[in-house]
Amino acid sequence: MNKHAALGLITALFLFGCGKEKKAVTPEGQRPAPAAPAGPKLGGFPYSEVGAGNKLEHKGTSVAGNGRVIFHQPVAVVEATYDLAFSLRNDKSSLVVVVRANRDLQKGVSVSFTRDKEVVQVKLDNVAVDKKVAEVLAKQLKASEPLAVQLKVKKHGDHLDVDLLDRDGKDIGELGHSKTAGADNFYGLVLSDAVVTKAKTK
Amino acid sequence: MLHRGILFVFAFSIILSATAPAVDASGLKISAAADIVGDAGLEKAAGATDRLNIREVEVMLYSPADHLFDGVISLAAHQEGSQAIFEVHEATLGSTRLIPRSRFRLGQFFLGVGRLNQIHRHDWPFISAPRVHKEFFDSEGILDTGVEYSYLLPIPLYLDLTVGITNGWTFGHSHNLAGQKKPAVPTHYVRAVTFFKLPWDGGMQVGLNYVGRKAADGTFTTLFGVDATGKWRENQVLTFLLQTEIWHGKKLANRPNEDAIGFYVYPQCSLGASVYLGVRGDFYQILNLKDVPGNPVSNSDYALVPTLTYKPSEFSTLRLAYNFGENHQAGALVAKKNFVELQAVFILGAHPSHDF
Repeated sequence: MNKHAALGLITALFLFGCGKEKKAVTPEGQRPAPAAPAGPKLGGFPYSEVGAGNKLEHKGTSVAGNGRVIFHQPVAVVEATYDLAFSLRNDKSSLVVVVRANRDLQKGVSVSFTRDKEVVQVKLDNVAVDKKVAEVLAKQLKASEPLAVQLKVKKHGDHLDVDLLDRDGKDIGELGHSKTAGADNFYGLVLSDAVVTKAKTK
Repeated sequence: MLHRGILFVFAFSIILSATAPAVDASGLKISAAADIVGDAGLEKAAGATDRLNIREVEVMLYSPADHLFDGVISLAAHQEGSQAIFEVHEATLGSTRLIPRSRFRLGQFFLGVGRLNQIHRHDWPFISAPRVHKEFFDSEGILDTGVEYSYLLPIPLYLDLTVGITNGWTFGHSHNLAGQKKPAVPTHYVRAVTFFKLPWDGGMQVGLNYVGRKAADGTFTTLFGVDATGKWRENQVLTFLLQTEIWHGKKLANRPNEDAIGFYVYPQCSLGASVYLGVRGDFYQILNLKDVPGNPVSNSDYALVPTLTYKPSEFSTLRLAYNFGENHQAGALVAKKNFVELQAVFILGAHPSHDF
């Protein structure tokens, strides 16, 4: 056996050995699936209301009204895309997407979409986006119509880099850097006179 | 903004080159490196940026400051989205001559732990960081300002101990320096490294690492890791490389604790004097991931990254890699990678040598 073959064999044994050991500890798909929680789902994703005073309608295909919801599944990845479809019913209606929050939907990073007549104002951590991005948004999004956008969120050290994409995943613009990287892996929504028909991660 | 940063670095390099040769009589060495990286997704939501970017331009100066001390200055401009960030990567005063069997450095530097964290990204054997490194050390590495001391133990076995303490106001890449608070316990670390020979004229370096820090909010981060690098050479050609790191990280905090483990393994063999082929295997798992109601969520993140490298000299490198990876949670696919990466690196002037 020559040197390359021997070293390759040792490495392959190491690679497969490590993989098998990890699988044995927590076998993928073999852990008992958590009991399906009774409660609302949006696009198959279970969620629940957070806090008191919510006035929300849950229809399975949409959630509408005023209030706060948190999705049950964590988003434990370095980079995640949040695929959203929603309507802002009235002038000053808003939808806030909170990512990397804790179980109480606190200490996360927020991206807000607020209707200002026909314009959608977007803020990251309550700070308005760059003027150039705002101009592009004004051209692409009509606030009175159903909206569909994606948020691409990348954890980078102590903050998140957030990009806004259109419904097909094409870049609209950078929303910028958040102030923190959030506290945990959960995401949710804060609705103010809004209707959300899609809020899934991919 | 990017162009301004890069122009500044290049202009700085040119001015220095004009006033001093790459290696002058005082021993001053100047090195400028550019790292150009692009990627292209092979399907929708493939995890790629679909762009070619100048990831980083770095100018490094290093020299003996006098008969006792050495100085290193490294300035880098790197791109984040459409913005260029210009920063000091390293600025250290150190010595290997002041205290017997010892070396130390004072200033800003990449912490002396692990393997990838100590090597500039353009000198890595692959293009992008594995998930375990991104999670614990960010996409490049953790740098901070402090002091580091290393001591070669006077025993028959090669054993080198390094201890370091740094400010710890930030941990990893940061743009929020103004908002940071003094940590309860600054960043501190220990590394023990040994070396032994292997059959067929090979050698392996193995390091044991610990990093700790307690943030102002009480979150105590601890990292334990093992890194190993094996090399086999024939007439200066690296015929086989085996590089691996495994890290276990914990964050103990008021909120639910985080507990994760991950590793990568990168075997690479030569296909001639200048061409190398390697495959990196990555794995990462959060050991205590739970959903909102508190049910455990099984999860795993793995990737395979075949990498072809053309490196005719230590001053230029062309690299092509294919990234395939999947992240599963509760048995469902939640994220995937399916893209190719291209990298071009060139270094002008001197090139500092790395440990082993």
